Amino acid sequence: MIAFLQPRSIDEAVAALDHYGEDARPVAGSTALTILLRQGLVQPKALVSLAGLPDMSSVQQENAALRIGALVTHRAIETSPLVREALPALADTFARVANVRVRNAATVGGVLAEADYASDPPTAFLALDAVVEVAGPAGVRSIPIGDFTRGFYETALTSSEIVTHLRVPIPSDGTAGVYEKFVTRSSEDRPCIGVFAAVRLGEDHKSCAELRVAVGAASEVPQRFKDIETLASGNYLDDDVIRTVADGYADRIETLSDLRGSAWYRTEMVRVWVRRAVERARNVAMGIQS
Amino acid sequence: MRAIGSPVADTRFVGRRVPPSEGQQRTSGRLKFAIDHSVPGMLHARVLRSTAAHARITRLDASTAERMPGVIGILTGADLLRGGIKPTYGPVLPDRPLVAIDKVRFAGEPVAVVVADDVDTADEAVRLIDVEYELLPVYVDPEAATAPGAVLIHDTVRRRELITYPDLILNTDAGPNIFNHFKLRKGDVDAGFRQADRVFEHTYRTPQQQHVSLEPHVAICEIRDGRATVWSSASSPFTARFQVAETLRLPQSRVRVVTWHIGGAFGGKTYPRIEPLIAAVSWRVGGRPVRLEFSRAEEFYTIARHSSVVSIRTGVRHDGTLVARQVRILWGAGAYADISPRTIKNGGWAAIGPYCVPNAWIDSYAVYTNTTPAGGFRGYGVPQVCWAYERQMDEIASALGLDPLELRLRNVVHEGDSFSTGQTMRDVHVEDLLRSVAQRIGWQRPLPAPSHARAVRGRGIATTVKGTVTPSTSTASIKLNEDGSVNLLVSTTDIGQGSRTVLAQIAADALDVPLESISVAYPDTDLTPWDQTTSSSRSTAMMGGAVRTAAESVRRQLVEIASRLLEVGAADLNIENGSVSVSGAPARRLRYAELIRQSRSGNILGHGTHATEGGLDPETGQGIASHHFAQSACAAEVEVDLDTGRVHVADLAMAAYAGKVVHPTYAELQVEGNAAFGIGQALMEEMVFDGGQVANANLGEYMIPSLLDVPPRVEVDLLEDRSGDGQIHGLGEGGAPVVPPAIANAVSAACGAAIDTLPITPERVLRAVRGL
Amino acid sequence: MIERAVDEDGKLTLTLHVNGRSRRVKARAHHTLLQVLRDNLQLFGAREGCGVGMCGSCTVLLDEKPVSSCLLLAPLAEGKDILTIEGLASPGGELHAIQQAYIDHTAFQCSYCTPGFILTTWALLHEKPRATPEEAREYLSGNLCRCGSYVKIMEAVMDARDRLAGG
Repeated sequence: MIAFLQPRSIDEAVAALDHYGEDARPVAGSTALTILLRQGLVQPKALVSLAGLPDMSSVQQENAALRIGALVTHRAIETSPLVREALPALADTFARVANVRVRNAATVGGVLAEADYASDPPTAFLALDAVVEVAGPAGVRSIPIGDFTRGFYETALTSSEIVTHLRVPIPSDGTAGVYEKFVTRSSEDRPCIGVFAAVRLGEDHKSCAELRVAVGAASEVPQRFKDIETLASGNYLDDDVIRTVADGYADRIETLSDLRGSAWYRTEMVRVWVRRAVERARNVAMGIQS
Repeated sequence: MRAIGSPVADTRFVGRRVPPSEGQQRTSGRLKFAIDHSVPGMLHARVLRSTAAHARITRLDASTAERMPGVIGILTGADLLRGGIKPTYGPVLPDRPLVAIDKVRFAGEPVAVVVADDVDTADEAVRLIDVEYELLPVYVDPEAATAPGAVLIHDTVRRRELITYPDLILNTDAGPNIFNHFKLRKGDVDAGFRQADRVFEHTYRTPQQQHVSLEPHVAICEIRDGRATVWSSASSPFTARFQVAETLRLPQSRVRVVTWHIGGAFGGKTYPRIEPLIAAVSWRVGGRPVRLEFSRAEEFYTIARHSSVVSIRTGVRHDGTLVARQVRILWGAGAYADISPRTIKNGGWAAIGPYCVPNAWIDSYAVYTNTTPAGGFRGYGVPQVCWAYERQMDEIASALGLDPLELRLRNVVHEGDSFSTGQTMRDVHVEDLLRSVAQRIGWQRPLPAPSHARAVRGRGIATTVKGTVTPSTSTASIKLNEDGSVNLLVSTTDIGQGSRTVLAQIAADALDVPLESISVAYPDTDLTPWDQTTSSSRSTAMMGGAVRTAAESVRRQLVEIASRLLEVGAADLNIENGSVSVSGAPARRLRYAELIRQSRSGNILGHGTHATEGGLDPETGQGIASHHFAQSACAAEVEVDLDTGRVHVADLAMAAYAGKVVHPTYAELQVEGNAAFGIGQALMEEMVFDGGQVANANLGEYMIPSLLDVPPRVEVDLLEDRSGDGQIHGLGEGGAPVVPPAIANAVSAACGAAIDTLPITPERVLRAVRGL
Repeated sequence: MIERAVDEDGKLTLTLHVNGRSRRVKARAHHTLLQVLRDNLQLFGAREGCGVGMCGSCTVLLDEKPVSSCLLLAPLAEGKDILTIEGLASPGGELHAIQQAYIDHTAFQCSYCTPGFILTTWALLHEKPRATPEEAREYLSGNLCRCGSYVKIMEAVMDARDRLAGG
């Protein structure tokens, strides 16, 4: 028998989770969790519904950042005028996830807590230096995304904590972001690799002032190498520079094998798609149709 | 639609796009499937499945589970040893235990079945059953299973006294883990190879694949007073009746199988698997009604397509004429025989392809493997061999410097040619179909520019013929009611092919009544007469034939009655438009309803049987393989991304010989559906086994084509013979086999990557492009 | 009290708003909306095809948005407007233009996936009454048809769009 709890505040939710310890599961959109439940892979004593929690269901702009409530669905981000205006590439990333039904149900909090490697939004979060806001019995804390996602389906959350918001700093004006999702089987496949690239040009509108590249679905957690990114600073993003960045990422990422591609193939795809993503971001930044 | 032969008088319904049956129900969610059915007081079953791919069961303890409140009973192998029911089943060789007895032979094999008041309780109880396994070596592919020293998966090959199908050829002694060997010997293949200017040898591989019918297998069984009723997703109710009767040791008259619409079959529901199991489960709990529905994951452990290793050796002259072909096929048939002995025969004789090859030698082996049992699957062996012979044709063309289309045109069978089985080919139009798809893909036109600098484009072509099970039999009954309306009693199941519309069209024309007056019954083995199967693209032709014969019987009886009532000889009577009238005196007429009432007949029952003859010699494979051949061709244009190996199907042209089209829209749907199916086989579908475990038993990991994976336009050319003698040619399967080789040939033309293993994944293409 | 009461069978009493009517059902916390629709309410149009949200055979509209009912835990469906395929035709039984378009184009074969496609088509045209073929294909790409009726489905969708736009 599984108890069903409907807390009306974050405190109530945290208290309920704390009370049950490992035996309770928070549920919001209930996509991944339902699969685990029905296959008997998790057998909780209680489900704690987050659906009724206040102040977690909207996207706000605060201090040059978007503060996204954990209950906001993928579809809501995909279609949010605010996100489309401030961070269109983030909206595009969410738009690429699964299908419209899943996007209508799955939440930001859900995708963060799940830490599924074959996922699109976490790659964007890493590139955008997002910060995860978490509430627990000890209070609230902010965790940079790189520290939040720890490994396969493993996060910094304790069993009594929930994600409440995601804060995504809005990059400086003139930053062009793109998300490339590469699938190897059907159009509905999960990513073999996903690359989020953002380019901000210098005042000459030609050389690169800032490059950000995050690669997801190729290893346990999304990867980003600031030392490789800075190689581009001050340089024109020509073939050589881009190739250096792409090869750098390909050499550094320990790729995994799964049904979407072998480790060898993924390494090659890191090379290809980092290059393509950076090229496209550069072209968007320069105002050229890609 | 293109026609050959000049058309005869317009039929009223056959040939027209009449509204589909049950349109309102289909679009309102009210179409009935077995998965919707329930029976008062029914219990619920869940299956405990083996986690080992090949092992002895050393311990099975269900005592804790048995004691759980809400658990009614648990079926285990021990029950099967106590007698009462037949422990094993199978449509050809009864080698498959209902639940594992002492050994498991594939991961996912049923080991026990829990019956409980509800599904949740059954699920919990399953988790409480303790099983211990002593692992044995696991063979996933047929090469490993037939290698010297391989452990036998079955110690003996069980047989049955009666041969269940007249076209069966059994040769079960061909080697370890081989349970059937089909041979074809034509001409003198050694002499043929000596005459050849060039000899080509290649090996091609395909994996096990899944049908992915969206409706899973589901069945309910109740046994009352020695009569068993099974409501199920079976797509051939009489094969299910046969098996359940054998399992329960009941005469067939006391077994009733009831079906409605089937949510997709593609060959996966033609032969019974869930039905004998649920019958045994109901028997185990004293005949109480029990329902069993498989999850999608369980589908992966129920039935699959054969994997294959096809070694094909072909001798040709410099001008490309084929003079000899030798093919050896190892079929990965899974852990139990199922219908494999037949599938491998079908794939066997088809392995020469639609070509004139005077000297042929084929060895086709069904091999046990520790994987999900393989059975009928759209194309029935032809897709695997077509992959091989159509890929090799392109290799040959390339080596000889010939256009791949030209090479094929030089060798395809024409009217009067001798087929691999020595059968004289009639009504074959392969050349026409090839030219059609070549023309519509723009074979001679320059390729359009690729969409980006790192992409290349190419075109490929492929063709095939596929038979229909021969000999075979269908029967139909027509009940003409006292008001002139008609009940059509047929056991063809509507699996999506539109049989309920098509057979009604045929009946309405044959009886000369309005289409709306025909009501098609749902198959019920107590009430609808025997049909061999809904499979093999046979129903429109075979059941259509039986319906026409039944209609003739009804018409004869109507004329007989009219002759008596009107006191006129039968020869002076006309039957048309729902009535019988005197020739030359049209006012002297009686409507069907009046004939029935005035003669106090109650109703008129007409029965018809339609049967075909044929068969092959067990030593030479020569004879009549098929009553007629489905024929198709495909041309594909692809774009290959040279950096990723990803293949995009830019354009697809399909052509099929339909003989006679009963419903043009349904005919198109079959060919379009085959195109989508073929794209799946070509680019994305494979069951992945990890040491015998299915690694991708869900639709997030086993991918089937979506709307975006199929080109927005699929050109379909249906060639028809309108002369009135047109033999209906089934369209259900011919299209799928040609799509993968056409795509692979296009990939090869585009970038030189010669892919020999399905599916054509980006990684395989990239490795080939890079020469790795 | 934030914990919902359960009966002796461990079932919650849920109030679901389905096809314009309030329905009370008993279901366990881990039961999905799909199970409740079929087992409790005998609405069989939503169907299980994959159990992982990939195939769309279980599609229902939740506050006019398509969702996979095989993944939605039943308790989470409270307080929403649920529309199943059975609720699409008018109360008098007149088929919706989309349903009629599917029939007119024979945009189905076995028809198991058809309700999911029709509801998703409704949502598409509700959100984008002038959807282009590209937008329609993208929106419908998450509904799988194994029989491969995609070509005729697209014909029906574009025809329905035109009919609803007053064409």
